Amino acid sequence: MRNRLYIISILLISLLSSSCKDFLEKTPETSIPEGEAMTTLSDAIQVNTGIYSQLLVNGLYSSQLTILPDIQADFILPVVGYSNTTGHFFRWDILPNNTYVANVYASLYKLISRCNFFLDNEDKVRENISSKEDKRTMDQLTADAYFLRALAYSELIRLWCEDYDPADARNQLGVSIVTSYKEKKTPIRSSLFDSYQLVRGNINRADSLFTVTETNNLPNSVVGNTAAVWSLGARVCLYMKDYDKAAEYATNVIEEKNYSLANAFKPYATYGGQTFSEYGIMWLFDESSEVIFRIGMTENDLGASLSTPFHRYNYVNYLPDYIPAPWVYNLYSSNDYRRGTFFSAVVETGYPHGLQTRLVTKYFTNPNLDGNTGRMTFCNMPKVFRLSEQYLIRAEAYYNLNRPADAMADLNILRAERIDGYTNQNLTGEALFDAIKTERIKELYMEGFRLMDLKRWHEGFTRTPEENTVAPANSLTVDKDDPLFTWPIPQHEMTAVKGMQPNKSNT
Amino acid sequence: MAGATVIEAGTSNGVTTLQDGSYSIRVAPGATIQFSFMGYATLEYRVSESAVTEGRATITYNAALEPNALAMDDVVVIGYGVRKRGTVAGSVSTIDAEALNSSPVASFDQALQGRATGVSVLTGSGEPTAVAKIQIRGTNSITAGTDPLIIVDGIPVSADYFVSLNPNDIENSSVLKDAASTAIYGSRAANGVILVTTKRGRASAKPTISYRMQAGFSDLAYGKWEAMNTEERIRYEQELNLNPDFNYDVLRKTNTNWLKEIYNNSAVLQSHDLSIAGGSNEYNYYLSGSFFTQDGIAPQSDFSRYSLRANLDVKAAKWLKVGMTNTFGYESYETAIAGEGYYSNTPISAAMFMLPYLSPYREDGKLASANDGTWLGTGHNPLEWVKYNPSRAKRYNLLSSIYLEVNPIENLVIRSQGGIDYANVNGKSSSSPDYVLNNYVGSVSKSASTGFNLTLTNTANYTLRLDEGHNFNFLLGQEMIDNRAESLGYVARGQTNSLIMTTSTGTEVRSWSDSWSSSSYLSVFSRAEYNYKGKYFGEATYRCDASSKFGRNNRWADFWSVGAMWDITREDFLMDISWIDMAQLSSSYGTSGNSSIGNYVHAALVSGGPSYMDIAGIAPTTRGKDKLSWEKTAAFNFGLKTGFLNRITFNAEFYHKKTTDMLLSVPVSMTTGYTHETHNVGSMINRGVELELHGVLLRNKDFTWSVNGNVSYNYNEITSLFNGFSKYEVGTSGTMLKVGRAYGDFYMNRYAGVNPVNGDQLWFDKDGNITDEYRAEDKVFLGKNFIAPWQGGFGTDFRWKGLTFSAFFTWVADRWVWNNDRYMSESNGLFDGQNQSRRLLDRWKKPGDITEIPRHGQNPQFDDRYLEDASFLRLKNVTLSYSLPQSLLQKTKFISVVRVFAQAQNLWTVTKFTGLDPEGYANMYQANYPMSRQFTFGLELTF
Repeated sequence: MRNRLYIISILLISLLSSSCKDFLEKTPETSIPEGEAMTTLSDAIQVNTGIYSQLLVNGLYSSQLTILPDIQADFILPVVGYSNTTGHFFRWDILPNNTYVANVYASLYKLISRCNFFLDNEDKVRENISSKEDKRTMDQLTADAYFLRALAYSELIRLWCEDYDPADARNQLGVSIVTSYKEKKTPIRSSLFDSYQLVRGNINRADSLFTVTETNNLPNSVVGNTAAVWSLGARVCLYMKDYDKAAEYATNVIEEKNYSLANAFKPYATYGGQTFSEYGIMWLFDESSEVIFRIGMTENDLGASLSTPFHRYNYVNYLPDYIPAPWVYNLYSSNDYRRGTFFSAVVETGYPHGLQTRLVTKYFTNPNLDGNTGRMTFCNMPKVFRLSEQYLIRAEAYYNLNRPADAMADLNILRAERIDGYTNQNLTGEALFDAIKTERIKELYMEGFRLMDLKRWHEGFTRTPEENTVAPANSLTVDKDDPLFTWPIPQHEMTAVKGMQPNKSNT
Repeated sequence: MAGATVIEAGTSNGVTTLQDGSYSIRVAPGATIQFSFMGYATLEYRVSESAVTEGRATITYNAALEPNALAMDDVVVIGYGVRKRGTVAGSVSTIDAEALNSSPVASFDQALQGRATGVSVLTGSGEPTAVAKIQIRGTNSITAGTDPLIIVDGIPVSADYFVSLNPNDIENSSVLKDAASTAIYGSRAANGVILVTTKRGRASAKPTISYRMQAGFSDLAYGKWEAMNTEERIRYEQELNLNPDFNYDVLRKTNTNWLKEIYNNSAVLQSHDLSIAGGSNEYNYYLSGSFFTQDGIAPQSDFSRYSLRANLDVKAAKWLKVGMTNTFGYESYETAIAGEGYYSNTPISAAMFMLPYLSPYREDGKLASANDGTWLGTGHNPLEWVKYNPSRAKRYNLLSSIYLEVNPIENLVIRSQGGIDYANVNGKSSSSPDYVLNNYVGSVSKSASTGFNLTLTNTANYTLRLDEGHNFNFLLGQEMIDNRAESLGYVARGQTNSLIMTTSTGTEVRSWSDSWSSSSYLSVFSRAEYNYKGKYFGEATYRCDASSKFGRNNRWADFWSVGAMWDITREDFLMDISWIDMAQLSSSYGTSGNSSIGNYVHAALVSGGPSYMDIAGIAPTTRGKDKLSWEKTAAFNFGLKTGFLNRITFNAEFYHKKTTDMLLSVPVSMTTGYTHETHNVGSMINRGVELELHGVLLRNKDFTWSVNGNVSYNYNEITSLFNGFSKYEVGTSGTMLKVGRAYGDFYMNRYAGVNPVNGDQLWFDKDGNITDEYRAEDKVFLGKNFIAPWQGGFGTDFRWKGLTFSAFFTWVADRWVWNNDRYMSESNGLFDGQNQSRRLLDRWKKPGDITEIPRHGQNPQFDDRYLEDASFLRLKNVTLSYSLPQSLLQKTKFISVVRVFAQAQNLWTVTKFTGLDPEGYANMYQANYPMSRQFTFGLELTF
């Protein structure tokens, strides 16, 4: 008996030791080792999808990247009793350890790192494909990576760099440039000149790789295409004060036959018993002939909510954190149909003080995204590039190129689609520039442009308080040179990267 | 004793004792006779050679066997073994099981507070299911976890298991603190080890049936409340002209104290335990069943537990013993939502915000509802929200093991144990379609998670006794552990009938997730112990571990320890000094490890999950770190144990620990796509002193009065960080990691009060000058930490005949916490729509006002104005009990114990803290679920 036991023990021990190797190898069910992840075209398509899914995070277009800069500017006022979740921005009290600043920064670099991962492995995939069609698909995917990387870097520059000075750009601070996922070194910031060169280089790469066919450069695209790349090019060049190139890119987009400005006052469709213009439908269903590139969402693949801070609707009451600053509302003439699209009628909020106010309704909710159940997801697809912005870019470029008539023409085209009964105007000089600036407010309200526009134009502002809005920041005066026009480099980054150069707003 | 084995050592010459316990055996002079019996320690007697001058001699030797180790107060449970108290070189605290058995809480860990030196036990929530945060001898790790390894009957379990364990089943609990005792657990023992042994039957004991019940209620333990009442609120609003249109004459009629509305001051609790234990020569058993139920003091908070236990040992053959340990438990609980979310719908945080002139009830006593507009407040009536959004979880758990113990040759015991720790938690929370604030849409969220942990342990223990008092004990062992965790969750929507809220009554499934994760460990270990005549003790331990959590080339690590103890009492020169009962010096040094990181941190992975436009994609999720390996803690320990006059014991210990190669979550540049990665960097030391005193002040035939107390102090210092950095500010925690300072030191701006001229806030800049600007660069170390360096407990016992009174206090000192609730309630206008603290009535109002509260409109900042001293002294337990005298009980012939008792837990609290309760372990106090106080009455019967 004892002997038998010994034998059993020995057998057991040897069994154990032989299975040791496997016993200690554990791999997760949902992951694959990095080296095997992207070798075929199918893998590349999946990695491409992974890049796009990053666009849905709350740090990017469907929330923080879009609304924080405008909350910081002069567009809204917070209501007494609000949730204070983004109050630091409104109060110009943004410290380097602000979690939103870090989140936007991290979200953009995560997008970049996914593009980098794709580009690192691009050659491995190309070795495994031979058909012309596959190569063309791979070109498109690669172009996507360059396009989105350029887009991400342009947003980083917009928020964390000072206004581009063509004469001094090589001495201005840019952003940290990383172009490979494998990169182990963490670079300090390059010059603003080099940072923009990278963006433009990537725009060019994307432009050359995207092929223009019958089926792309169509409105409402949820992936990159040539028109989206040009739109980005126009925006970047405007910010770089390269007005020739900005006008050229914008012209390319404007002349692309598939896009046209959506009319804001002609009846177009009915929904829920109401008649909407095409422009109105665009802000509801996120579709129109002027949407060049939007972040795609479905019932299952939703992003964050753009509307929450403007409604906080609990199915009984509105408890908006922020209400529109009346001066913006008052900019619109009564026959400017943007007004009724972006702002609600006066409603009574559910706060104890019962404030009666208009609400920002630009992004109320896309009924298709809740399966038309009335459940309300408060989600809309962010429209990253629209044709109207291209008109505004070209108008501003023409103005700076001393072509006021061309600038005025663009402005007139846009206004004619927005204002019922609009008659063309003929402005020049400072009045024209003011008109362009005002039109940007009216058209691009709450789409994230305002802070950058003020920074570019070197303008400060003073808020006008309203009853039941949070003091004292509701009467804040911001100087045009306030360092917080440029966000502080996140504290995290200052710690993690040796020699990282701070912004003025870091102290 | 009948049936005991009497055998001549090394031979098969043996007999069994007769009915009256007598025996007779024939042996040669000089032979050793062993007396053994199941459940009792084996005793040896050496037949003297000199006693036999010639031929035969009859020697009478009365052997008195002592019940085995686990059944006695006199033993210490150590890693893979038990030792007689006073023969251990390592630092081991044992906790009186009686203190744990009858504590009126679900989870016995809370009863550990203040009982053992160097063991910090703090609970962050008054939830009945809350598990305490246990930290042994300081903070040994920054990001790889500080939880000790918990082993119940030889099987490692997670701290959650404490909620499942019936405290009445606990026989013994030890805390292993120094390297000499923990190194045998190697890889995971750097934070110390807690060993829990459950009760077993005694051999040859007649069945003992015990019944114990307890019933009582809970209320708030402390409950400091500064919210304005209606008069104050109206005054505040009128002073600031917040709501000029309000009809205050109407509002004045309502004055709701939301603290009283939300917290229950008579939440019931009761428990019933029934156990039966006994045994024969061949087997022994312990069976128990228990029921425990406790309502939390907050809404949507309760706990019920049913547990069954069967512990069995069988002596299958002379050389073979087998046994099993089994528990099955079922728990059903609701947990209230508390904490940083500051939700306005969940009662705990909403209690702070609700306006006092609003009542949660209508005039007819029913809940004021948002459905019909009778709720007049902003958003939700928290009590109504709870009703329409219930949530409940059920936990099924099984902890089961079997063992086989072979005694192939004399003094060698080979033991194999296999155990399974299995738990399944099913959660369900639903939103009723009958509630307007749910948009009249029903939804049910379901989750299921399963944890499975398989442990196989094989040990061989050889005892060797040589002449001249040289005693050896060798242990060789091997262990493998396989951990698996699975989970699944989804939300089903569209239910229309609130009485049938299930997945199948919905119309769609909206979100879904699942996960699967596993890790494994493989180890070999050994220990050698030696003592000479019970005077000099020495031991050495070695363990080698491998873990799947590390890359192939860095998977194995060695841990070792050495320890020595000198029992001076056994020396001749102390033998004559009668007033010294005990004097022992011990010391040890060794290493142990920590690997509490994610299962796949070392691997570079690309994962599924991300999707876009309903197409599934993949994305890189970790860059991996193939070189990652164990975090190591080396510890030195020095101990002194003394006893005098048979009345006083005094123990002192000193330790110094150094943790190196910390598994630190290091901030990496966000340009990588990640924010943190785990590296083996940095080091930290913990140094401390522990003192323990027990004294009997009075002792005579009927009366005993004793006191006890303990104090622990721990000093922590970070000695290096990462990337050559000497400091790192930890997000928005208000703390900073800095070389030369303790982990958890607050680093923030210093509030300097209010400028009497204009009511603005003032701060000290970093040089101590006063400024009215709040700047990041003016942050300084405040010398305050959220981890208390000082802690302890003290108590007293009176016994007079059958009457016993005991009181036990616990305390922590110099613990600081940032009271985030005050940021919300003393907001100077930031949150005027919510109720505020009455302290705001004393704010600056006009030039010349001298006050700490700035003028209205001055936004609160993240400064030390809200940093509070959360030290506390708490009367943890008071018990009064009476046992009927034996003289009376003997007449009944079947009842052996009748005891009635009454106790109060957390009866009285002293603190400077201004929140609802000072107890906690976090840096922030954020709408915490406050601790509760229990009053119970109990009865214990033994047959």
